[in-house]
Amino acid sequence: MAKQLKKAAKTEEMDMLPVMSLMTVLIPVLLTMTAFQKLAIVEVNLPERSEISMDSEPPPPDDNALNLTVAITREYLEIWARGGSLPKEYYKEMWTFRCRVDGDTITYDPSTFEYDDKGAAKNPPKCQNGTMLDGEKFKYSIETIQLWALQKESEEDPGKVKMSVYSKSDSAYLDGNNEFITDLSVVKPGATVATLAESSARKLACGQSQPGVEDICSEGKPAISFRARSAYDELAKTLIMIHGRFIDSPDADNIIVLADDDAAFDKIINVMDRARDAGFFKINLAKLAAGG
Amino acid sequence: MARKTREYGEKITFSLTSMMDIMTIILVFMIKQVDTEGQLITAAENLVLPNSTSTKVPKEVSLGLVVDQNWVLVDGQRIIETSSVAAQDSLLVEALDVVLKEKREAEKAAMLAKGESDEGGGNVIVQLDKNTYYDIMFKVMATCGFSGFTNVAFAVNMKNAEE
Repeated sequence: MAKQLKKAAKTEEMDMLPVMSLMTVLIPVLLTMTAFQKLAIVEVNLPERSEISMDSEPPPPDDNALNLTVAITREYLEIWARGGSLPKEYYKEMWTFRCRVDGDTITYDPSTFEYDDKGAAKNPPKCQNGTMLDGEKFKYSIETIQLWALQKESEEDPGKVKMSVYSKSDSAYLDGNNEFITDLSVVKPGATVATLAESSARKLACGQSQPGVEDICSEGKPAISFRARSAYDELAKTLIMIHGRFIDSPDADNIIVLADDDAAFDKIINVMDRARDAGFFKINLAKLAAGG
Repeated sequence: MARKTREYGEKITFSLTSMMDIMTIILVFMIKQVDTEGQLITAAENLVLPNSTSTKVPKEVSLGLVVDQNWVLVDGQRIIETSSVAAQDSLLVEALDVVLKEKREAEKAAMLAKGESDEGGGNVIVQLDKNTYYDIMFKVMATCGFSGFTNVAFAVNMKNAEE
């Protein structure tokens, strides 16, 4: 009896347990509904059939038209404009895989893979702890396809990888003459550089952030990287130049993207991104004729 | 010994108030997020979309076409194997064309019933794995065009574009 009295004297606390159970159910439900990766769309114009068949009569040439075309082949990117072509942008393709087992990335040259009759790789990529990726499906675990820009003197020349200085956020730096910066010592606090983005000239500094000044340091040390230049960046630079120069053409916003049958979708999207960023909004897709 | 029994007998109550606070914050945050996003496209399971700097989000309800490693799917329904799309020579994927034409007719009928012109619509969002060959992408896209879905868009992952 004495015990009971004691209990009644205690302040009554609300029973939160049912509410908690409700919450525990609600939160997983909402978690599954939330998209952590935001999706966007890329719009394209439908392929024009006349451009696919190469033997049809070409439309009468318009002297003012730009007729800008970017071709993606296995070895190079090429730009045609006004009926002429610019120098080919050779690249070396590199595949970066992410290992599920340890979460690390590994980078391979795709030409080192040997395939058997069924199309499965005999020497699939190996993770750092020795696990091999599946020979048949390893292509689907490619995380990024990098295109390293090559300096080639001739078709036969194996080429030299071009290097460039990249910022913390992975944009290539350009100097005052709109050229890629290839010397790491140039990029230091006090220097003025730009990136491929429009009116992006900024001063570099260490440890201070204000408008027009980029802080290149992290924990007191410069955090810039010197690595193989991406062929996409070379392409972007050329496209920006073309868009600026031919802004008066009737088709100044148009671009046709051509690709080989076995070009990966990722490459197409990347090229389309660079074209859109350079100001070419109307993107058409077409196919390279067989053998071309 | 006697002390020990008394301790066991006592009813221990958790203080759930702080936990409730956390839960309430998480709950409100998540409801807000789900509400503002209003997803029109849901990422398909069997594929990895490419990253892109595009910031455009779909405005209208569109037909969902998915090309994953094994199958071509329209609205979650398996239509044809991806490998046979790759193998054929013709640009027109017939099995897909039949389904798409049906969908387009249904869409047109619905628009007419609402008293709108049947010229509009024809939106399709294509989700492709980032390692899909251009050949497959081109055939699927061409088939969409032939069957009346002329506003083709590709779904991509939004990359946080700095600058």
